[in-house]
Amino acid sequence: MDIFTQIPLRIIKEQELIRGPVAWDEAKKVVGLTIDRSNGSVSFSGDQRDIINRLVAQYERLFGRASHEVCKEAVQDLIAEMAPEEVPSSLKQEA
Amino acid sequence: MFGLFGETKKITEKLYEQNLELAVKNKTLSLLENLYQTSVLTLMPEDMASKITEIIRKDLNLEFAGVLMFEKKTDSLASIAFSTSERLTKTLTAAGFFLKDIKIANVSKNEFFKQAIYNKTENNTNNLQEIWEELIPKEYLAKIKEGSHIKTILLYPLIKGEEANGVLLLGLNRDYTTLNAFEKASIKSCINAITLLLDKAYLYKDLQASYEITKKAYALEKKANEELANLDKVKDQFLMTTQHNLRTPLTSMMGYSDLLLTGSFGKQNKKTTEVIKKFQTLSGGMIKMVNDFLDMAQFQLGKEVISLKPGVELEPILDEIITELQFKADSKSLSLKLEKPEKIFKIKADREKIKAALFNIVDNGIKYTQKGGVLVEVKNHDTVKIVVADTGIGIPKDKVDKIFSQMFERGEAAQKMAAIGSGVGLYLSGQIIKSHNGKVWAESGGEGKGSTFYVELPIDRETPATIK
Repeated sequence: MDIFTQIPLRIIKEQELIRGPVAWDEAKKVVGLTIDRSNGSVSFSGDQRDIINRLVAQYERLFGRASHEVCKEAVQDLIAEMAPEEVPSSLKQEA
Repeated sequence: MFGLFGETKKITEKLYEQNLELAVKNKTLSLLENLYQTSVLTLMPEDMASKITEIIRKDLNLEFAGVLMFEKKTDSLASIAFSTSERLTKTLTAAGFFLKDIKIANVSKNEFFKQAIYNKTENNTNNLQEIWEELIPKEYLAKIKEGSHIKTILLYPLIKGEEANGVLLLGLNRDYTTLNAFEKASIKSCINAITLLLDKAYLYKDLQASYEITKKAYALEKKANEELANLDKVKDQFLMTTQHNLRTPLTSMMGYSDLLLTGSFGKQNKKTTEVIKKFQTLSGGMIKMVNDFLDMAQFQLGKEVISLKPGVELEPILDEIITELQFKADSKSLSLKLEKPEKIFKIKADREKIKAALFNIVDNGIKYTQKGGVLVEVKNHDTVKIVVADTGIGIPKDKVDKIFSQMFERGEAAQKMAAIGSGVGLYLSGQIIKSHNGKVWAESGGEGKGSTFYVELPIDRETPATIK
């Protein structure tokens, strides 16, 4: 599984720990992101970074600034592996 | 309408923050539960530390977690467990070493570790050189940082009692500043649990070590006891052999000489009779000496030599001794008297042994007296006291207290007077009297002033003395 598919899953599962199953429902509303909770599969239709940014924004819109920090912390180890230009802007440390 | 939406959003955000706090606490609890489960499964410190570091590294998503124990004597920290992430393991394997193998020396001179060990406070750094500066080359450290994405290293002291006996080293892939208050508190909770778990494991290890030592000591003691028992058997065998090989022929010789004297092999002339009598005297002396040595050996081995029986009359014993030694006293023109008591005293005694003990004392008096004689008296207080007074050479002051407690101690004058004397007679008398729950001692005005020997024996109350 590549890093881009791991990122949404890691974010959704972390949000689920805090807010429960609603985290999956909100993720399904993100345009371009298709997820299957039963088998943990993720697919993108469009730019992966934009879709991930939208997912982070979706949670922030609903749950506030704290949720944005949770998203960033959840994927710290994954984005460490990525080249800076590949990292979705919402997940950069200064974002 | 818009105001209501804003209010709902605020409530949702607040709720989220509270949920976040709960989620962190939940994670902490889950981690603690995990650590507890591990502690139940293992008891050895190294094994436990290995499992602990693996759990916290995975649960807290760390690059590494290590437990290092402090050795005060060498002022160093030695790793007992190090768990590393997959990518850090790859980097280290390529570099050809593992963090577990690196010992931190001169802790008191290393500012980073010194704070944790000596000030017992936590510490953190973004600079790997602060930790492994002189131990890992700079280029390797740079590769490690790049390959594993370590951003911050946290150091926590493991405090036991008043001292830090180790540290927990955690490598984070993010800045320490990005940790929220709950996460920091969560890590601290783990540190306390880890300290307790390791403490328990070390206690168990110490207990097991001391159990092993006790077990070994017990085995050694058992072996030593077995060897002693064997030695005892050998000594017993030796005594039996000595008894058989030495005493039996001597007794036979005495028997045959008796037969010679009584004319069983024909009438002997006067000269031969005198020779046989001398032969008998010498043989008798030798039998006595052999008996003394055998008894002494038995006492030395702590064997039950004495068999006490109640109702033993003292007077007949003293009578026999006087009769047996009368000839010896007469031959030296010495007086030998027994002042008989008015009562008949009965004691609990081994008749033959107590007789031998008293015989030795009276015989000793005769042996070391040239003029005058030996007087034996029996006195009675709470005990029965036998007093043997002689007018002999006396006992030097420095020897008088040791005369019954040391073997082979004979004064110069005694050696001049009697060349024959094993030096065990009085020692043996002392041992026999002690075995009768009695006391024995000597008094003397010094050399040339005679000696008085006192023997005190408990009266047998069950068979009281009778008036003659």
